[in-house]
Amino acid sequence: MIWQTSVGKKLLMALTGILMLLFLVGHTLGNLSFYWGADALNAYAEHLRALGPLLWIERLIMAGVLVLHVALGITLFWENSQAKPVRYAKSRYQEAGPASRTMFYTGLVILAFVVYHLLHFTVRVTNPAIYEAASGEGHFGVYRMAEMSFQSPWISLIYLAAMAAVLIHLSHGVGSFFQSVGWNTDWTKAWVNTGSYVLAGILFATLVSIPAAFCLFGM
Amino acid sequence: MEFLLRVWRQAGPDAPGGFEEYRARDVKEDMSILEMLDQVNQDLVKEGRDPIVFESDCREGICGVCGLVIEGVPHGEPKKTTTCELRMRHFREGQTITIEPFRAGALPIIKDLMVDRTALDQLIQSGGYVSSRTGSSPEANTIPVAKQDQEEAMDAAECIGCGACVAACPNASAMLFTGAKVSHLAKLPQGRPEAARRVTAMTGRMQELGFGNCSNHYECQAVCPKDIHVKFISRMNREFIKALFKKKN
Repeated sequence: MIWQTSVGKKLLMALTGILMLLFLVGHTLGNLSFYWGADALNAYAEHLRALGPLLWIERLIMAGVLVLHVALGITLFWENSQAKPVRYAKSRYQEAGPASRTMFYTGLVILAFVVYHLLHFTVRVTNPAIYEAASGEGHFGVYRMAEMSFQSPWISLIYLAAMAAVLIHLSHGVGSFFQSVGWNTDWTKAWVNTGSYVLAGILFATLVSIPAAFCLFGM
Repeated sequence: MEFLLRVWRQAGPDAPGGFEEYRARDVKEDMSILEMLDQVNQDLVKEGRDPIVFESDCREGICGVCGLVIEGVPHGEPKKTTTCELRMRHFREGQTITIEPFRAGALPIIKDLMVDRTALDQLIQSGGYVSSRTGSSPEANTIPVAKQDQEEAMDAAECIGCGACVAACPNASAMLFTGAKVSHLAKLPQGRPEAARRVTAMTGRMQELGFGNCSNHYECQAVCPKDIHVKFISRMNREFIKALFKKKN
């Protein structure tokens, strides 16, 4: 019944969403090693690679979670458009903000970015010149790769746009998680929404600070 | 006061509809929007034209029968109001007022501004009740209920079933309506034993009847004439999770 009911689908949406959020928090904390310099970031990347089978288990879980979240998102979007076949000629939203109304679209932007990010950083097919330059030091230099990538205004812009989508998506998504798993009570309702904005803001600021640091200080 | 009305007219469920304009003259500011429509209808009848069809019953905000989308908001912009309680003083003199029926696949239009809300009754029939025989009213306080629980149950029970939550929801979801009923009964000792069966049946039926899914827009709460809080949707979600782990009996 979890697949058939609206409440069940929202529950799965919330659980897969929160797993991806936890992944993103971990990823962001890992990225922070950038501030300890090139060796720290490269060493962090080496450690991740050294995890071997564990890394693959994690990748498979995250891929499953992502596919489920996207498939459910598309299903919900389609069902919702079916449930309201005729729209109002005049419509004024009272409560729904831009974030909640664009979840599907910000989700698509994030999905497109995840695909691009994996092609760029993990599979390494989009920018051969960068990969060659980064490989020149005996081992693959993630720091050098990030630095060269952010020197391209296009890559930086794509990154910034994707992070903005993450910010908007999470500002609604985190609060929705609490609602969908049934934790929106008299006690939590006061801080859940503010909390979502704060968390989304912190993640956005941290993730964007890295290209900003390259740009401003040429680190 | 005088207004220009843009009203949705539709001859029948499958007939094509469209907006028609009417001028409402000599409107008193203390009139409700329904009384204003009554007046317009009187003129239409005098002219031998078809009056605008809309529903109403008690006209004191408790029956849940009236419901129009006024200027893009179900029951109009003022909060915690039913359509019948919406007074003309809330509008500007000479303003154009757009009036549409509730829009949702599950609530089809019967004629003009009148919609068929059978789906909401079918939703209640799927489990929104207590099936034990209770006999006549029991002696007060024979079953102790904590004041907090009783108040919360009554907050949920305030729902008058008007369907504005469905109309306001961009997904035409009936979550607030269903959540209110599930929470109301789950909070009280009489309803608790059947809570798992109820939430499973009602959430399943909601899907079958063609209501959409909740995107947590919270438009429903904003237009609810009885100010029912979305925390009851969250409580329903919690009851749903509890039911998933409960052994089938």
